[in-house]
Amino acid sequence: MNYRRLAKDWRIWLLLVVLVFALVGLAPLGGAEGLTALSFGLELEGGTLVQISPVGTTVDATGFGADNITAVEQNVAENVEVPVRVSRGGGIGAQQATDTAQVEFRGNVSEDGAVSAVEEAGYTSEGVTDGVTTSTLNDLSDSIQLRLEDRLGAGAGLSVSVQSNLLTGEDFIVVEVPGERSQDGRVVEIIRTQGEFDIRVVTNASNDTQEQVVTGDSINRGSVSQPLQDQGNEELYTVQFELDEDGSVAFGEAMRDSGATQNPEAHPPVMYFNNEEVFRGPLNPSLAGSIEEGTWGGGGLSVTGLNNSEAQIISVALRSGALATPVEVVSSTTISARQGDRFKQYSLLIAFLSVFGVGATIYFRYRDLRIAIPTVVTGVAEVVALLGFSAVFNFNVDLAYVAGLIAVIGTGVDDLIIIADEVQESGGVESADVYRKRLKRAFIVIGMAATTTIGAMLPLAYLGLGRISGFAIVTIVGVLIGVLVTRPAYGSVLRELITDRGD
Amino acid sequence: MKLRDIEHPTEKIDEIEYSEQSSKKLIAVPFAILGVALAVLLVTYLLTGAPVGLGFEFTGGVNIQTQTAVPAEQIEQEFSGIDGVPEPSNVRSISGGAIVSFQPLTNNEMSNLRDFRDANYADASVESVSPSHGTSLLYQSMGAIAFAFVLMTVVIFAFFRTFVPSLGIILSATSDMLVPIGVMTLLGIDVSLGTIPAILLIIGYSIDSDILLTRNTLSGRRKQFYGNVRNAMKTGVTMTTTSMAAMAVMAISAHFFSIFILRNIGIILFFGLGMDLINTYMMNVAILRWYVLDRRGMR
Repeated sequence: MNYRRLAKDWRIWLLLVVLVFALVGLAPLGGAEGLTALSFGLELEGGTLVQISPVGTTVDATGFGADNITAVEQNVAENVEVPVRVSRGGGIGAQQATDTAQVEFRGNVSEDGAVSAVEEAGYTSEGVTDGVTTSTLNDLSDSIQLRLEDRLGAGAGLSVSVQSNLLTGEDFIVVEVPGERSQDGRVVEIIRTQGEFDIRVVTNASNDTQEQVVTGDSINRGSVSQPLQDQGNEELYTVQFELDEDGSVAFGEAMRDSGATQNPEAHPPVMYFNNEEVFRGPLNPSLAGSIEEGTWGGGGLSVTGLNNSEAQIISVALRSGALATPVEVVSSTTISARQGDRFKQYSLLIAFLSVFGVGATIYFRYRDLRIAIPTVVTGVAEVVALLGFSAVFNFNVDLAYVAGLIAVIGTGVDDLIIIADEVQESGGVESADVYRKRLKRAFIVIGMAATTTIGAMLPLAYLGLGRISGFAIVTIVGVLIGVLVTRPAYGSVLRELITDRGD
Repeated sequence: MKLRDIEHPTEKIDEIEYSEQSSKKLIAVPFAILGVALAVLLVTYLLTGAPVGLGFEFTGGVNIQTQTAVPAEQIEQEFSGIDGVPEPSNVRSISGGAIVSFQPLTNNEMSNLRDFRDANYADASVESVSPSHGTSLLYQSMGAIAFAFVLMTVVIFAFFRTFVPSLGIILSATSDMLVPIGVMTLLGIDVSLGTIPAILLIIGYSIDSDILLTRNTLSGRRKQFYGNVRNAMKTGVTMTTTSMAAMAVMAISAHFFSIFILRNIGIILFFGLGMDLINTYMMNVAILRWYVLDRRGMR
């Protein structure tokens, strides 16, 4: 073994540098929990993952003539039963006939239905897609994030992201809430029951007939207060909020028209969250009086006399507002912390057993620890490098990841066998030149196989098929680390082992 | 192992092993296995309307995996009587728990089911996929496989630039992918989302022994054809059996730990690699022999 030559070999140094970086990356520095800085995915940590698809159809339309956006919205909306929004990049109401705009139908409308609604309104359709516009998608994502933070707390570690499928063009909002919580399944509920908030007023007390006054859209989201404890009575709470201008006008009119200002007890406003009554209570006499006289300036309102849990619900209900479009929960996964924990231990054990199986087979084949040990050590180095990479780039380790890791070990060992066999072919290796030639031959095969593997995995990584794209990414990165870093170093170590014994 | 003791492969020994086998025989075995696999898929298609059993991720539905060792009958009974939830479509016990499956549920049914789970089986995992999303996932998976296949074809042809040997490698990889799917169908294991990467990985895994064989025989001396085959085979068989060992260990241990994603990936790769041994060292050797020796008028 020529250690001096080995110490000068850049391949060895590259491997060492990569390993040091990987170990530093893995070290639980900076407040990371657990033994390493690795973050675990839902399957191994427990938690809830929900994939949501917004319901809507968007038509690229043109030929608006002199109509401005509001007019277009109204004209198209006459032909369908769902809300219509128009958005365009340039100035509103531009008159050029070449201008295009996106006409978005916020609800369940077929593509044909959407196109004909646009055409019936006298505009030209240039194409139709299933789904909503990007800005609506981002808005939905923000609303959902806000709602979940309200209910679960900002420290819940939840993530809400928009993911697009490149093949089908579908857009999803993906919500991930790690860990287990007391009301685990409710994550789906919070999202699904999209927080439709509205205020109604009782118009006929004898049969409880009600009329809608305002919806969540009219509430200034930032104005809603947390439950405020009353100073006089600590068991009572108040929630304050503000209506926007239109909402204030509508509220005042409805109170007068319903008779609430004359007889508050008989015509109380009623608040609904997801069509469930969350509050019913008469107008305060002084508020009723000022609305009746027209001196109420609008805006701020208070809901008083609540117990703590009622106040919580009303605060959340008011803050959440209504989502821009209906949403459909296309998939949901809830993993208990216990199962996550079990799977974490088991998958570690499975990975360990698989490595052991590989090592045993190698030893059985070569009957030589001098080959078996470097092979297994190289395999382990590959795993460490890959884990370090994952820690640095914040990959979530989940089951698909573990499977990918085992697959990487498998392909890695395959390549080491090619190297070992190729350089030993035809017996002894007398000179470094012969060795280099044979190593080069081995690497041609390895390079071809690696390219093919990466090619096979690219579509998966690119399409982002949910959890399994992790498998593809791990495999690709693992193959690259192997081909570029660990396998060249293995070749160098093997050279010392073989040429040394050549005499 | 004595490094210097590896015998120099001679044509004489090898020729006895391989040259006596007619190409027909060498090709018949892999094709017969492929034929059986295709027949299984065809019969399944005629019986069920799909060539393979599809997991709930593709058909839509709800799966609950419990973590307590309650007998399956009891679990079935308990899950059958939930207010506002249809009967489960299937209950089966696994080591350390059970899997309860439902047809796709409405939002309210799902909510009732979650109530039940929270109250009685808080340790259980719940997975739900809507049928439309399942269909979309299925098409995407098929797209990913097709796309990967095209990329593989391009890479192989670009490397070898010879039609027949390249075609042989691609034929082998195709068969390596189809046979394990047939095995899955025979074993009654549904193709789930987690098995898609395994099917794709067969391409990467099986290709290296093919490449090794093809490159060795095409670039080596014609006279040493059988010796080159033998060399490639020695390395290739070691590689493939090592990987098969890893996959068998993974499949068996994952089965006992009820981690089905890992088990299914293990099964697919194990059979895919096994099929690759047969394809590479029978079919591809026959194809290469014809290409290297017969076609050029030797032997």
